[in-house]
Amino acid sequence: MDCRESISAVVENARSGRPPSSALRAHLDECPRCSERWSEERILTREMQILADRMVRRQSPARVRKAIEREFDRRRRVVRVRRMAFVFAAAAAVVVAFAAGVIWWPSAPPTAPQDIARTVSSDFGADAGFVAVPGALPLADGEFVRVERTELDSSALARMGLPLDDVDDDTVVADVVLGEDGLPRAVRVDEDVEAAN
Amino acid sequence: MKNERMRRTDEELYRRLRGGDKPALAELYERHEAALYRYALCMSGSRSIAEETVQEVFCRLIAGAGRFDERRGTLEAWLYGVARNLARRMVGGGTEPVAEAASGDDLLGELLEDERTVSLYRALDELPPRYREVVLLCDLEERSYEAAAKLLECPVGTVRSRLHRARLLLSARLAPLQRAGVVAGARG
Repeated sequence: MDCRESISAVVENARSGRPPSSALRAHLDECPRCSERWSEERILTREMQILADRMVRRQSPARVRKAIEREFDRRRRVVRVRRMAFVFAAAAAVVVAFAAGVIWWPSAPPTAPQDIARTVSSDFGADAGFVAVPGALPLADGEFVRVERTELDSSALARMGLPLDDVDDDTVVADVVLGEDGLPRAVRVDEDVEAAN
Repeated sequence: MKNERMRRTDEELYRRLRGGDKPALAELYERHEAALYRYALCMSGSRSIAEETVQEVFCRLIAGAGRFDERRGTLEAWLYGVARNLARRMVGGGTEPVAEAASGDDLLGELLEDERTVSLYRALDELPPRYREVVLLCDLEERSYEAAAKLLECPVGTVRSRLHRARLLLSARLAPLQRAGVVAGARG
C-alpha cells in the first residue's frame, strides 16, 4: 500500500470507526506522515461527533412554521377566490349566451339556397308553377312577398330551366316573386301569354 | 394513518401539497426543516439568515415558484438547491466569503460554552462553501456520499474528494490548537 491509497483508507476508517486493515496497519507502522494523519483523522472524527451532537437538536423556531402555515392559508384563499371567480364568470357567460340565444335565435333555421324551390312551392302551392331563381336567398319565415307580372329575357329564363321551346320572341311575360328586399325569388311563365305568342 | 403517511414519498406529498393538502405541508416540514435549517446555519453562520432561508424555501414550495420537476431530481435535492442559493444570496450575493459576511456569529455564541466545539466550528466556518457543505452533509448529518451527491447534484467522486480535502484543511487548522492543548487530541 502506498501513501495515496493509505490516505483514502485512513479517512474512511477514521470516519467509520473501523480499525485499520493489516495492510494499512503495516503502512502506518512504517510511514510517520500517514501515521500522523491517522491520529489527526481520528481526533477530527471525535470533534466532529461532538459538534454533530450539538447541532442535531437545532431547528428553526416555531414562528417560522407559523409564518409558513399562514402563507399556505393565504395562498389557499387566493386560489379559492380565483376558482370561485372563474366559476361565476363561466356561469355568467353561460347565462348571457343562453339569453342571447333566446332573444336572437330564429324560430326556424335558415333555409339553404338549394331549398328555395321547396320554400317557394310551399308558399305558393306545389302546382303554382314557380321556379326558384338560382342563387337567391331563401324567404324568411313570415316574410312578405309580392308577385309582379313583367317581361323577361327568354334566354335568361331558358338558363333557369323553364320550357320555352315554343317561344320565338326575345322576351316573355312572366310572374316574378319578389321578397321584402325587392330581389326576385321565383319565376313563373304565364302560359296563356306564352301560348298566345 | 400514521404508517400510511410514513410510506408516502416526498414527491407524493408535494403533489398533495399542490392540491391544497395542508397536512402534506406539515409532513414535508417535519421531514426537512431541521436539516435545512442546520444547512443554512452552517452555510451562513447566522441564525436569522437560516430562519429566513427555511421560511423562504417552504414559501417557494407552496407558491410553486421555480417549480419542482420530478423528472429532474428529488424534492429534497430541490429544497437544498433553493436553500443553497438563498443562503448565498443573503450572505453576500454569492461572491463574499461566508465567514466574513455572516455577522453576529449567532451559532458561535451559543457554542462558546464548549471551547473544543468552538475551535472546530471556527475552522469549519473558514472553509470554502463547497468544502463546508460536504462536511455538513457527510460528517455532521451523516449522509452517505451517494445521498450527498444527489443533494449537491454532483458526482459521488467529487463529494468524496471534497470531503477528504476538507478534512485535511480542518486538521491543519486544528493542529496548532491540539498542540496547545485546546482540543481533544492533546488531552487524550
